[in-house]
Amino acid sequence: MSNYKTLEILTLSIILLYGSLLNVFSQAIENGNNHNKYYKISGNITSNDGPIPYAYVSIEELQMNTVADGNGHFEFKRIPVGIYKIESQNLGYVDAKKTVTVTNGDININIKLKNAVYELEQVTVMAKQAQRNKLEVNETAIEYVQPVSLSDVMILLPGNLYQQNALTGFSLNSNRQAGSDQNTSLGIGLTSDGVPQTSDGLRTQMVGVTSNRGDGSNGDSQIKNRSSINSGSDLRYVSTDHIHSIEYTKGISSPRYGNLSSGLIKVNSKSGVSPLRIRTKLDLKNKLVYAGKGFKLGDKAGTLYAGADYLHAVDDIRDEMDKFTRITAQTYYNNKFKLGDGYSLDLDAKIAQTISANKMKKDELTYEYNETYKADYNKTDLMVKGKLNLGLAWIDNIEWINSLNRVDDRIDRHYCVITGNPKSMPKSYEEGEHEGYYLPTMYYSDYYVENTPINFYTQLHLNSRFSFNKNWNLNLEYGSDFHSSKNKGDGAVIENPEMPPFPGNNTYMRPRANWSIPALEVLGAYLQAVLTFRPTSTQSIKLEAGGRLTEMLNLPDDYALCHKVLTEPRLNFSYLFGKNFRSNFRLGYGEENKLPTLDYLYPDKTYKDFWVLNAYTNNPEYRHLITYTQIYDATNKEIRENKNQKVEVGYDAKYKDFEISLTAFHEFSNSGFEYFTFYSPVTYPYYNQLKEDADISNKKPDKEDYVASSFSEFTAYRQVMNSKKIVKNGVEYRMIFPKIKAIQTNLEVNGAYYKTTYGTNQPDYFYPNSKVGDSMYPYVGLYDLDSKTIKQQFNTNFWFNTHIPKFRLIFTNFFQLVWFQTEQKTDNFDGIYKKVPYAYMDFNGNIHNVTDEELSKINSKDDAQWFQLRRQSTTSSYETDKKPIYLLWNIKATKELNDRVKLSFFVNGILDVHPKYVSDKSSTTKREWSNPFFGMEMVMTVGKTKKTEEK
Amino acid sequence: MITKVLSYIILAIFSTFVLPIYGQDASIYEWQTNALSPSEKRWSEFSSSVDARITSSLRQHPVYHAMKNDETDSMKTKRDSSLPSTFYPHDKQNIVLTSYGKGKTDGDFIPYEGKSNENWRLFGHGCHNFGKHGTLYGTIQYARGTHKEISWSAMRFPELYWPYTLTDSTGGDSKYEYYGIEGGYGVNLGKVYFGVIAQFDGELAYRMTDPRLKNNTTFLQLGFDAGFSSPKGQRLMADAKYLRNKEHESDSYWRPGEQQRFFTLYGFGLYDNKRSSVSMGRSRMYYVNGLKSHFSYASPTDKTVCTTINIGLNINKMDAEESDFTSPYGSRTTTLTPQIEFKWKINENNTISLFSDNHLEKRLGYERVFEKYITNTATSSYDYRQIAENQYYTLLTRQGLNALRYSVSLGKHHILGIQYGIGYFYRSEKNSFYDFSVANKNMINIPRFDYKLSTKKHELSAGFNWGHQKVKHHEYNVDIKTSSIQHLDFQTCFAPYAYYASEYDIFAADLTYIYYFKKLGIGMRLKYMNISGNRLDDVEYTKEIGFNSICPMISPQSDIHNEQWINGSIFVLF
Repeated sequence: MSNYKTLEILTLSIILLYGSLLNVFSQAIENGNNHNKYYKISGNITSNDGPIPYAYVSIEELQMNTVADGNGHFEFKRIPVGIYKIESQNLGYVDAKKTVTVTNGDININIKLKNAVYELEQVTVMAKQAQRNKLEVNETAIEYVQPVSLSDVMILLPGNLYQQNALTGFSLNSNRQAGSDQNTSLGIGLTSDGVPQTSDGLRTQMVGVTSNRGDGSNGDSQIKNRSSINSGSDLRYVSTDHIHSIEYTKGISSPRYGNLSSGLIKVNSKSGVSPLRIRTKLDLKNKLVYAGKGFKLGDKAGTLYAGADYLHAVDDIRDEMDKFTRITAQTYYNNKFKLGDGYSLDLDAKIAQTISANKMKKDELTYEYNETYKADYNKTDLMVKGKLNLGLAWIDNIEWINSLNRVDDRIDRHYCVITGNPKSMPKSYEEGEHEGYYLPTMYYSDYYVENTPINFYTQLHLNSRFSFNKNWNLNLEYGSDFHSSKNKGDGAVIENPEMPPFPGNNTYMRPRANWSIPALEVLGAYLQAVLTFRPTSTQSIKLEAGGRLTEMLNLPDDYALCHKVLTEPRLNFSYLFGKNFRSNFRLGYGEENKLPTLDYLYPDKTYKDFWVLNAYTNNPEYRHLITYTQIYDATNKEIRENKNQKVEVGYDAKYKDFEISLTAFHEFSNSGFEYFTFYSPVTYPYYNQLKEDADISNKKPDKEDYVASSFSEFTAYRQVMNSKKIVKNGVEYRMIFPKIKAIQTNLEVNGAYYKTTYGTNQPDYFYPNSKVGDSMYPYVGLYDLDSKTIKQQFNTNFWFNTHIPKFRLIFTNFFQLVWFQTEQKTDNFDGIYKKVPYAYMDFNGNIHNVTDEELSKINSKDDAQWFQLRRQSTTSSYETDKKPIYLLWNIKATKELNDRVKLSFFVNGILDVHPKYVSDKSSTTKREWSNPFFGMEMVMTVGKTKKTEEK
Repeated sequence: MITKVLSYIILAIFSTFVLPIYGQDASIYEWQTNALSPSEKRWSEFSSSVDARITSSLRQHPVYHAMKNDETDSMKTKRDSSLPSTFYPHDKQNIVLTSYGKGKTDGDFIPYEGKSNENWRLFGHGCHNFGKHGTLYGTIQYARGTHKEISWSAMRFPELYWPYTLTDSTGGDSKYEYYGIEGGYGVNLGKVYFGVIAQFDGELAYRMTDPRLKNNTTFLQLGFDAGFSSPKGQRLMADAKYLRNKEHESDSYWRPGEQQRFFTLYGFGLYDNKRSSVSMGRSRMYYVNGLKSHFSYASPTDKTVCTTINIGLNINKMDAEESDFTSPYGSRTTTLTPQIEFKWKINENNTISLFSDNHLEKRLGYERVFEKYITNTATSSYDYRQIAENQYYTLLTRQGLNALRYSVSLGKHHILGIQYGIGYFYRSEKNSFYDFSVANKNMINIPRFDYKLSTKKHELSAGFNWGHQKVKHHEYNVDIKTSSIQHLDFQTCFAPYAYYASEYDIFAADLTYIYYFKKLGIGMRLKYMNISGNRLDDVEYTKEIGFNSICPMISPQSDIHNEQWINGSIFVLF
């Protein structure tokens, strides 16, 4: 019921908002109708071989886009007076722009696209600056990178450092930071054709598997290294072969996109008509083959693009039993229907399939035991998108996106457990005393973790445009979206619960099924108003103001986020001026919220077990184990969204072919998610000392044979908290120099300085974990450390792209200079390596402030008990670990042999200069090493190819 | 020695005459591909035609490609249309080739080469003349294969780093994946040509049995070239190149006790007992930085006498680095490669050539001494510093072929060639500190017969080489008396010495057939080599073998020296 209420409120809000906009602008529109006329821009998209059906056409200034019909004809209605750039894109062609001036009549233009062959000067292989601080990577640039997954394309972005791909493991995605962290990775939004790709519905709640036991154990590294749970999108599964273009927003994204906090990657699929393309890639780790073709189904039947790729990856070629295999297939249908009265409908539909297998089998010759790891990933994605182009005074177009996908993600593990000595094992799901049993010293445990999230997404997006007079334009984008993710998987299932894979010190698994967890449901509404004022032909002031309302539905009433409508204001301002020397000042503020995942919302309970009676003898009949089980609920009902506040200032300039772009930013998040370690006291019955008259030599011992006592200790457990604090500061820069004609080379210099502070908003807990006499140490210290890790990085990437159209050759020299990378740990005791608590917890769970008297005891070696609360660390731990300048040189060359065959070769790290340096931290000489990584690629176009355009 | 002196005298006599010569490049399929196995390398040494050797040398110069293209353009009007285009090899400057090769040895073998090999390759080469905009050419290659039963080497290309190599007593099969690319560009300003060249070869080799080795080896060459073509057709070329090689070796998946079976060698079976046994996970990097210069002279090709002179000078500096940053070993290598050919076209049908191809190399080895010292007493941190460097090791290699060739055209479609060559080989290792020395000196006679048939549609060529190697001198003066460590001289010092101290017969042949369509030719080529012989009876190891291993090993006593290798390729010329 509550959900419906929320929905009603949001819907009402949108209606009210829209209604008020009607009132506000009604007069203006009337004026507009009286004084400003609207005109039509229509035209044809053609190539040397005739019209290009279903090409994409857009008007940058008005944020309008459409697709041409089957004959390449397009039409934009209600275009006010002004100067506009009409841009057209189509698979296999170079993007083309044409500037038109609308004065007092309809405009008809013809845009001729040229084949994207290297004989053309216009072919670009770098990311290009789109609106605001967005970067767009087109098909030619993607192809030139020779990627195997989306993560490979990231190298084109300023500030990003080259990384060798490693598909057998998951790597955190980073954005605007030195280093990486789980919250940023989780907060990076990824959309495919407007549909968010989320992994928020995954859970791996198996204590020990992902090291959330709280006892410092490392968990199962084989699963940890491969799992992306709570870490955002796994870009390994995103094949670039189906992608036409990628748009990156590193800073403040449009309010249309929600449930993200650290940038947005927008992916647009290949569509339209194109000849069969076959791509084969070989490198030291990957072997990939792809084939794709776009069919024209008929003049009115639309187009169908179908493609499939196969990737086989081995991270370490010696480890033949550790493999990653991915098969992706995608079909994309698009069409344009004319509905009469000048209305039209752009219809898109997509079916995508991703199948992946990740296998690892340890060699019994090496480890003398046989373990297996097998991860199967299967994703089926359906998308239907319709855009109704109305061209009405109040509504220009309505877009409705629907997506349904199902992921089958299953990990099977055959795990060898070596306990070393007989380990006591409880098996209770209830608190209190229970009978236990003893585990063998070595055994195999078989288990699987199954996640089957089913994601549904729908978005209704509307667009209205108003023109007040010839100088003022308003573009409104608004709508609502709903996302649901229900996990139908079994979760963690142990085939024989009495043979658990991770028998820790006193924490054992009792996982619950994923299907028993409620679905994640998120409802959102957004509005963005883009107000453009063009006082003269050389000046443009643009204000993008908007916001987003989000509410998580289907939450239990006692959750803090239940019935909570979250707001995310987002504001961007830009002032563009100049005729030949064009300058653009940018200013932005935004708040973005990443909502907790299913795993964070519904963690499994932590069961802590303690032995009450532990009588182990060689004779199994005379063994007796009684355990005491304490249950801790790791759920944090107070959990909130991770809010990331962003401010950025930028300046762009363009003079002839010289471009410069500078962006300074500040991001602050004080509510990142984390499994935070707490301590809790526990007291349980304890039977350890035999009674004097007891004889257990020929019987199974029982409690009556022992002296009854009780035992108190502290135990650690983890709870989800909004405890992570991340502050990001930095400057990103990009310079594009005019082509050096003598060597036909373009130079782009980009890079960034990042300073990222990783901290926590929680006190630090410390338990000495020692004994005082026969009892456990009685206090847990609480320290106001405010410990932080500060990482800094400054890099410059030089891209020398030599493009010789006559030779149909592009040759790239990429030099990455990392001026420095530093890492320093600091805290409130900075420089002082003796840390004292401000409070402590006793066995009753009470927290006491440390008095002056207690403080003096803590600082005095004479008091053995209190002194243990003084934590000591070496001064070297505060030293800055500074890596000196290093240089990396990558080369890449692509030669078009003719219109059908393209050959590429790349070598990353062909030269690396890592100087020796003496580490301040370890006082030893070090040198970083990197191995060259190389490979080749061939792209063939089969079938009818367009003749190369005249130069 | 007499034969060598005689060869030089004949060379000198010929060089005093200025006679018209007919010059022609070898066909593209003959000179392009590199050797993927020791067997293939030996086949090339024994069986490559003189034309192929000369062309390989000249083609190092990007400006040569540009010169030849200009020349081809000017020659177009003079062609006889009845002859196949292969008589003008530059008509077909593009090739796509795939080949499969397999070889095996019986008896003696060089441990680091392995006992057998197998490989497959895909290769492409293209050259395009852009007229006044110059000539662009490039080569791309992918190959994979296995060198089987390698023993006493954990390295790829150990001869580059010899004697400072890593070795292990386990041995095994080294699989590899190879990627190569070369690109060059030449352009002229009048009679002066300029060129640039870049070449990269990368290989990842690995062993799938424990301990598992991985070697990432890369070779980079960057060079500038200049040339001059005189109005009379004389060509002068000179280049300067920077060379860099890097090999990164890492090992993993040890079984207990295997650390004692891994050694860092420094020649003559001595091993570094401080660096050995190698600890788990420690990796090594080997670097070679070098400068190379190559000078070529080619006389006019439309004269009766044609002279071609190639001289290469290569200076390399090698350093070995441990993952804890120390550089325990290094070497300096100087290589000189003089090559000369005189061709005398006696008349329209008869040609005599005199050819000499030589490889002279000297390597000095350096061993560095490090000490470990405390840098921070509080944290017990330590570091290393170099305190000395010793130069004890010297390696000399001399190798070459001197040949006299006569070829005769039988009508328009047939060419017969007869060649007699004398090859020589000398290798000497010395350690002045221990006064150890090893030397081998061999001579080989290589008669060759070849035939070529060319019609408009067909091309058939065959070459047959017979040879017999004689040992002229051998000495082995290594006697490790240190009892505290088990020595490895039998495995790493005696085995190569024994391999070279063999007398054998060799037969090497090649057979090529090409069918020409209108725009392309499809061909196949077979190469074969058979070596059969014995190690000399007095070359035996009489001492106790220092270290027991599970590596495949040669016999201490005299043994057979047999090898067979075959390679087949199919290709398309266009």
